[in-house]
Amino acid sequence: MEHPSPPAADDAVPRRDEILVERAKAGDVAAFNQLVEAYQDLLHSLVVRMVPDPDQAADAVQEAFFSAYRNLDRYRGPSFRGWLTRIAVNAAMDLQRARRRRPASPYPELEDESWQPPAGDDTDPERLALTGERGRVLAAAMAAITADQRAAIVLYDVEGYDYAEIAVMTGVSLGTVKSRIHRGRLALRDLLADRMELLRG
Amino acid sequence: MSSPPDRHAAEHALAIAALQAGDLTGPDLARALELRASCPDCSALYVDLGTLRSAVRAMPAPPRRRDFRLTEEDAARLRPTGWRRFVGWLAAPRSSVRPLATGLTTLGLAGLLLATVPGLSLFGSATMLSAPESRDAGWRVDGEMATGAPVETDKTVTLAAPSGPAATAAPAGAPEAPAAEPVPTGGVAGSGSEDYRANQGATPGTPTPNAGDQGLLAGQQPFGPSLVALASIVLLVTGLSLFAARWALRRSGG
Repeated sequence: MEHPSPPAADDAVPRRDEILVERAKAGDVAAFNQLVEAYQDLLHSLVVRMVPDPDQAADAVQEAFFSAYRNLDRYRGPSFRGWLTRIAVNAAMDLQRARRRRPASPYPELEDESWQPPAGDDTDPERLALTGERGRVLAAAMAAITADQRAAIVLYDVEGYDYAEIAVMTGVSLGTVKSRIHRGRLALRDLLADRMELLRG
Repeated sequence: MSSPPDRHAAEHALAIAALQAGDLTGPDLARALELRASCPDCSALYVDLGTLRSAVRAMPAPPRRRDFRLTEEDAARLRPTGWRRFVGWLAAPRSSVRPLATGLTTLGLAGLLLATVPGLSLFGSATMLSAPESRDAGWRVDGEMATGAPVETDKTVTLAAPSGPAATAAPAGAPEAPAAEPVPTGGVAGSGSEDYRANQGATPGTPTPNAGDQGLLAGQQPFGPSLVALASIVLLVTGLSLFAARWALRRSGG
């Protein structure tokens, strides 16, 4: 398969995680907070792509960490990162389901111009503006496809999980995962048909 | 419902999407490759899907603005200990408190019904029917307490005679009773042998209330319903208390 596999974790990281988990299980909150520090950026960047509203995404991440701490005794390994990611994905999906039941203002970030993508090393203003515009257009289109399609695309394309892992995380069949990814990409293409030049640049 | 050409186009699009994702093999792969080669729109779609895939992969995430570390209060709330854990269990939305409280209340009500409605006093009837057995059991237990060893069956029958129908029918059996008296060991006060000696002076068929006869009297009393009633009240009160505690805790946001 041409899809890249997720970055292999260093052996020291899982070992550190296991030690911290054991300490946290024994009631050491500081140990759990070390795990939070290690994974909060990862979880936030995942969930904020799945949940279009940044505030709600942050709530989902917080809920994921709460849930992880509450259910720490149920963690059986082998990967704390994978376990935590599954919890975060579920928290994000639950939040979106709840929002579907209680529709709020749809995707407030579409009007939010305050956020700009990180500049990195690039200082060319024109290029920066282009990158910002590209990110906003794509984020708006991502927000317009279904939550299930968005989750599958983010987990596959951005996070690098394979179909089987996504199927386990989201609790659907392998075929459903593939279908969601294919249909989601086609939906994105329909939404961005007249902006493809911008994305190609 | 989509028209056949639309459906056809949708199927083509899905085939191109699957081809772009690298999910096709065998005849499906050959068909999709042929489609891409023969249809300009399909070819354009293939290119666009590749572009989108790269763009999504490179899509920057908004920066994190919140620190998700847990405070001590969060930790105490999330993993309570001691009575807080019990309170948390009571107030938890999906805890087993409700079914448990429902079960206890139902059992309590059913038990009370059985114990109080005369026609339904099943346990009482059963107790009355087995009263002679209970009496025998009462003597036997006393005998065991007195001697520290099980009493022989024939002695037990003799001891039970004064209150049974055989005692009134054949009072002549009473003088023979001392021969059947268990050997006193002096180990336990209020022994069955003392009960027996006390009974010797009593009129046959009208036993004197003493330690041994308390068991006998208890056997004659319909104690079943009262025990059932007591247990039912306990179950009912426990069930209702669980309901009340859960309601109060959830109302107060506990």
